[in-house]
Amino acid sequence: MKKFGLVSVLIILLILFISCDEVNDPEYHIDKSACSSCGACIGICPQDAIEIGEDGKAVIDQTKCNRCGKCIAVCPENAIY
Amino acid sequence: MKKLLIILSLLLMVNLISAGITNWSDLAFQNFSSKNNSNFGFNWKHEIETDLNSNLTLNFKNELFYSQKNDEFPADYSHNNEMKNSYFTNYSTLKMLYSTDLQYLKLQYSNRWFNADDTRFLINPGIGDHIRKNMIHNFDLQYKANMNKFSFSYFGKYRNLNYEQLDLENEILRTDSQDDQIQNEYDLYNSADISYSVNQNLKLFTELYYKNDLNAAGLYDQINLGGGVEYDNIINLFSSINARVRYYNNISDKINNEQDHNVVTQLRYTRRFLSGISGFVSYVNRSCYDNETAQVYRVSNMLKVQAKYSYAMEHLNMSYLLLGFKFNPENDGTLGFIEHNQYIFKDIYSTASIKYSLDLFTSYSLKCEYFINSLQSFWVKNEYTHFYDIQKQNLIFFGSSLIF
Repeated sequence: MKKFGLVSVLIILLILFISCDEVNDPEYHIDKSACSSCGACIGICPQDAIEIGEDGKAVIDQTKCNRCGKCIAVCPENAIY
Repeated sequence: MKKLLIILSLLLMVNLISAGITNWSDLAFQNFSSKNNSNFGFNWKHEIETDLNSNLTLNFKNELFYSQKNDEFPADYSHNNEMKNSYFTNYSTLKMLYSTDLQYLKLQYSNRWFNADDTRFLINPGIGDHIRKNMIHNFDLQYKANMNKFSFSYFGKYRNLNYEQLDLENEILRTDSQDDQIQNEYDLYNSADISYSVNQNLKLFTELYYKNDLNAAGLYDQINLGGGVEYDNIINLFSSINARVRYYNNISDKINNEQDHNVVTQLRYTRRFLSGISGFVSYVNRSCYDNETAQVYRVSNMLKVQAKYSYAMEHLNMSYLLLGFKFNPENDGTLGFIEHNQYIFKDIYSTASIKYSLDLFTSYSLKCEYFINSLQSFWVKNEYTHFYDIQKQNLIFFGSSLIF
């Protein structure tokens, strides 16, 4: 019963989140569980907005990032979302 | 070429005099080919670590990457993968770690060097017009402490980018010294968080992030202030669940007003079966709230599902079949993948994989690896990628992974 309640809440939340309008200029973020710290995104970033952070994974400086998406194309782990 | 030989010699010397110290060395030669061109390159990663005493560790890591220029990719920033295959760079890190049961301290210096002649130029409206990176210096300090149910952590980074300002005339890059301007940019990043463990499973935390743009106008300053709750439960030996909800307020002139108030929700469920099957389901949602329109917006959704079937332990490794997909519609990140690792004979294994991205590429790879022992191996790999908006490319690698 507990499990059913939890799953129901999650499904409702998921539907609510997905049904929202998309933000006009969405930020990119790093999926830290997938990032291999290879640095390909740091090299290509035309805004110089990516660097290795405290946990050894890439991190995006949102003030510099202009959402060009070049990092998404070079990331071998598809870790940028 | 001279610089390259000096760096290679230094790395070799370090390697020879470092007997008694733990070494990780990965070396891979590659041949990159596209429609009409074929280019040579290599990637050498070397890491050395030594324990000075039971609490103090010294670590040095160097990564050198070189690839001949591929003239098929014009010096045009519109080609996404040109930088990946047409540059010469070196990344070095020296760090000292001090850790006890209750405290952790890390001091680190790193630099990323780009050979300006081989590195394609970049457009950077954030800084100026057109720039070419020369060197990035980073000084990091990290401190963590645990006190009963509380824990505290701080991270600080001082970053310097050294770059050349370039002029673009009639769409031709001018690099004559008269027009080149060597310049620097400085940034200071600080973040701190305090967390409180309510019980074995539940944790409350608050966090502060402050970025200080140390250049003239300080236009790129940013403050994030937030907090949240984390639930972590290892249900039994075979399953665990983790949930984390975090709110933060974004204060910066450079951030869109719509993203002033943000909520990040993370859920992860892992499961393992006795039959050798294991897997996880994870979901991350980013949403924001706009004060002016009083509306909730969707930033991104990412759902990941992965299952692995490990079916036979042969000699030094385990054969497996891996299946998974990622659903990330907002960032064109939806993809599916399959990977199969199979023992062939006498410590030789093969790995075949296919990655299919809905919007960006399809990639096929085949790897054959010979294990000398559990810590040392030699391998050959072929990777073929079809980028939908650019062209097809083929990479052949020959490499070694050694721990000694």
